[in-house]
Amino acid sequence: MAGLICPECGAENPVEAERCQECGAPLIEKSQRVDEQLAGLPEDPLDFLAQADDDLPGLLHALKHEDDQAPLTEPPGGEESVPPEGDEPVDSSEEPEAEETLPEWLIRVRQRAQEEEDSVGEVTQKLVVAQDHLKEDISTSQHENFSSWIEGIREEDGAKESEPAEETAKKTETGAEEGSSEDKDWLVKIRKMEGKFIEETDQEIKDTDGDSLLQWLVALEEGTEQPEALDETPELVDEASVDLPAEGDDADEDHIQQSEAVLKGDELEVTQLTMVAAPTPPVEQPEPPLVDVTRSEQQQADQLTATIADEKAARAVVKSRKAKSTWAIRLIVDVVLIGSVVFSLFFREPAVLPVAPMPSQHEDMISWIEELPADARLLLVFDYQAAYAAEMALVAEPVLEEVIHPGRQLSVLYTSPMGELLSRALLSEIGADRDVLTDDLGYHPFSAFTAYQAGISAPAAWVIPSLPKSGRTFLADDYEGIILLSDTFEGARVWIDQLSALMPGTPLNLILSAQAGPMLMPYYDSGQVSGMISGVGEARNFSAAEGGSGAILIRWRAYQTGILLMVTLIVTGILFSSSQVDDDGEVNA
Amino acid sequence: MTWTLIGWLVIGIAAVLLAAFWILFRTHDFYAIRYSAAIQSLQCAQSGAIERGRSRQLVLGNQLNGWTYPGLGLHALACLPGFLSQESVVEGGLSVASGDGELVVFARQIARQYYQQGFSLGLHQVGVQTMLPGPTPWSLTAGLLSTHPQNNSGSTALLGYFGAEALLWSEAALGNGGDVFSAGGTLAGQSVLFLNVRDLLIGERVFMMPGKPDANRVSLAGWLTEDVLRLFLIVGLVVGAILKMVGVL
Amino acid sequence: MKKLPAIIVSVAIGLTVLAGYFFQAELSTVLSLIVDWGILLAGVAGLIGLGYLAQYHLTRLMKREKGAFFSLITLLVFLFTLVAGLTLTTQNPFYRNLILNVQVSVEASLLAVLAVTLMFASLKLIRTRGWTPMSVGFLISALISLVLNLGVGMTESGTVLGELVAFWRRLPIVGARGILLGMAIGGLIVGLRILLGMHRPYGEE
Repeated sequence: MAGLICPECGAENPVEAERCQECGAPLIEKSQRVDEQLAGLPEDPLDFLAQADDDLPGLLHALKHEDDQAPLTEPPGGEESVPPEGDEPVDSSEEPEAEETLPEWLIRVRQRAQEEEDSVGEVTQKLVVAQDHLKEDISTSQHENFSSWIEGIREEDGAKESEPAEETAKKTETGAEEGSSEDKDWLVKIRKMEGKFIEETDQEIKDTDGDSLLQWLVALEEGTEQPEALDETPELVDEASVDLPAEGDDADEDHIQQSEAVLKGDELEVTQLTMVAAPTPPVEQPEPPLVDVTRSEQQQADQLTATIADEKAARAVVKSRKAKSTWAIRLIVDVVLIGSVVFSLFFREPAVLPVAPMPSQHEDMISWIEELPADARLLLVFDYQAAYAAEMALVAEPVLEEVIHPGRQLSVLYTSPMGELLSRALLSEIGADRDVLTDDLGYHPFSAFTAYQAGISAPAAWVIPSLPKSGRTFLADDYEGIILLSDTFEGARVWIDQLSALMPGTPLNLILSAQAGPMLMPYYDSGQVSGMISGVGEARNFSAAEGGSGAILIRWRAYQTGILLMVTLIVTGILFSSSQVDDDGEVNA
Repeated sequence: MTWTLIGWLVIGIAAVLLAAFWILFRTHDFYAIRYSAAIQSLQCAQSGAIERGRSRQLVLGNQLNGWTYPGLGLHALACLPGFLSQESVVEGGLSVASGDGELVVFARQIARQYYQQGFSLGLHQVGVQTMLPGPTPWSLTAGLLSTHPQNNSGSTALLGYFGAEALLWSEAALGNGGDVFSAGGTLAGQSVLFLNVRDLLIGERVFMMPGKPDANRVSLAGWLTEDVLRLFLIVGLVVGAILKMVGVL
Repeated sequence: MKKLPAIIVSVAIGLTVLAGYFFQAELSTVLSLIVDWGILLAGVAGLIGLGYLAQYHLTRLMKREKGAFFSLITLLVFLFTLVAGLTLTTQNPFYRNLILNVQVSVEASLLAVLAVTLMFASLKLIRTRGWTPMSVGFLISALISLVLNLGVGMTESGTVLGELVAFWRRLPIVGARGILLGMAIGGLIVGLRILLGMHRPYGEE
């Protein structure tokens, strides 16, 4: 079913829809805008109708609207010529001409024009003359009105009109001469320009499944069928011609009205019709070839239609964010944040940390540390970046101080480019770099590869002699425990997945940054991880439980200060944005 | 039945479904593509940037082989051709950056091949600029911020594997008057970008990206397979939860 | 046609790695080799990437583009680090302290900037996204998480409050798991598309 193509999203909508059912974008307004813009591009094949509209003299517009109003009081012709109730004029710049809606000054001008011919301009004179014609014989057919207008044109403006205008007038004039051979010429031209896009009934639209710009293009490409058919068939391809196929020239007059009615009708309708191929009359015209349009072709055509509309649509002006000048707010936020955090660092250090409740993952880690043999062999995996070095050192030091003792053997492996330097710095801070570091397994640049390789390091069942052997057997299977230091959930997960599968009996403990901890809790719950500690807050608890110094408490207070500020800012943002939204009536992005 | 076996069952079903739908879409076309305002906006921003002579930046993340999100780096590469047209590969305004050497090499090859389809390499003047501003996430951030075109930012697309540092990338682009689109990132990356990026794809919608601008039957088959698997997963979770409550599991 | 060998190699290696999950013991030798090659190629690609970086800054320098001075600094520091690392090695305390004191400070500063940016973005969230269920849910979750991180939730497990806090702490994980499952399916399909040769970003479909 053909319908309105939304210029925003390209979705197809029913003809009567005012807003797009997909994205909610207004259809009528856009369609009007698009049609107006199409009218300005005569080379565009889509705008025959609009072009023709523009080519008509301005007076025709005025008369069209006169005609448009006339049926409201007494319809002169068939039903089809009566515009539907509530139809708006095509051009919003032109006021409706009904007496009750005319401004008072215009009524006065017209009255004076009847009294004194020279008192008003030429256009108004034409209007008055035309209106008089209407008033004289309101029951006269529309053709007579039309011809009277043509007469007026010929008498008053014939000499002044330019060549194209003369041609137009001539075409229209000859249209009044019934039965002449020229009738067909002008009619065919008008049909080609306008009649092809005359409105269809809903049923016709339904019947032409897949009607679109593409089908119209395909129809044009497929030859000459439609133009030839038009030449052979004088009837306009509109609803009236389908219903009254053999009315002859009277029908032609109706067609003129019909054509104008389309022009005068709703802009939305006009826009729609420019996209719809005209069906050929079923009586005299052979069935048009069935166009086999695939979905992708249909989508491309719709996309093209939407693009044409989109390219010509008025675009919202992108506001420069720089112009908003939020630097002052940023400066205030920065100063408050840095000042508060720095200020909190000057609190006096307590001698002994207050002991807080201990979560089970901490208790398990402490238990594991306490049960470690004196000559335990441990593996440390460093998987964090330099940005988190301070936080990781703060969290790791209390644990590593308990774990690393002389007599124990330590293997170190790192997966970040700075890992080697960071590991050495951390171990040197706790005085462990020379005493216990027995095995440096080196830098493994791709943790996913490394962890995977660890997972496949089982003894080979199939020995392929010609294959070069991998020189790396970096993981022994006799570690008493593994400690993984990681700053992200993703980095830690790689190792948990592989190591817990490869060495299920080896306890795996995690030392994590605050951002990684919560997401890794399920691994502790499932038993894949023996114990874990994450962030400054938990490190503080761990230190308190182990009788550590109060140095970490200072950082903890700074951390709390930062969080409090964050909470305050979010709440402020909510309140501020709330008032702003109310003031503006819409969200200001 | 072990969890590993279940995993392989899922992979096998996915492969079979994908192949079946791929063949089916050769003759039938019945998948209704879901509309995405973010991708529509990206397309407008890209063409708008070309029209206004502004730069377009494509960030492919900092990792090709992620464990937690194994397809993310690959997904970024898969999206790249969607940004390459005959116009864009010679216009010179498009730059592709990544923190992973592999991604950069692959991206360069892809861009070069697209150029080759329409132009002689002898004419290669500007083309698509591929660069590695830094080999780690934060050095990539520093490099991106320092090489970001001042006051000339048109459209920035963030793809692939990246973390919370992406907030700084997007802020730099938005601050220069550009548009930002994101389809990728870790959980942290997606959550921070939610704060200031309107055109944002989250979760599995990220993987709708490669075929969205120009859907082909491979994309359609992939999406349909995803939908079917998602349904299986939902049913499996519900059934599993019920069995757990009953005490069977 | 010339792309055929590349496709065959990539598909064969992908399938071998996949098969390795089923037949780990049988294929461990081959898998180790493949992974070694993969790491090697990735390392070489990293070097090429660094070459591109150097080329980019050299080009800026040669063309005297805006910001060429910073490119000069970058190149000089890069060369110094490279030469010092090769001659002094990473075990040298001077080299270690030099690099760490620069690198850690720079990265920590960026992290601090990120924190401030995050705060500022939180301030503007409603203005950016409006009052949508997503934005409201996001803000509520963020506030609850932040308040819990203040240490409010440090209670004994087993108590009502402790269980409640534990519930609130784990609630976001549920949502995150959902996102991860969706991404896993998406990643699986992307991988299969490439593995089965249906999608080749490096060539025509």
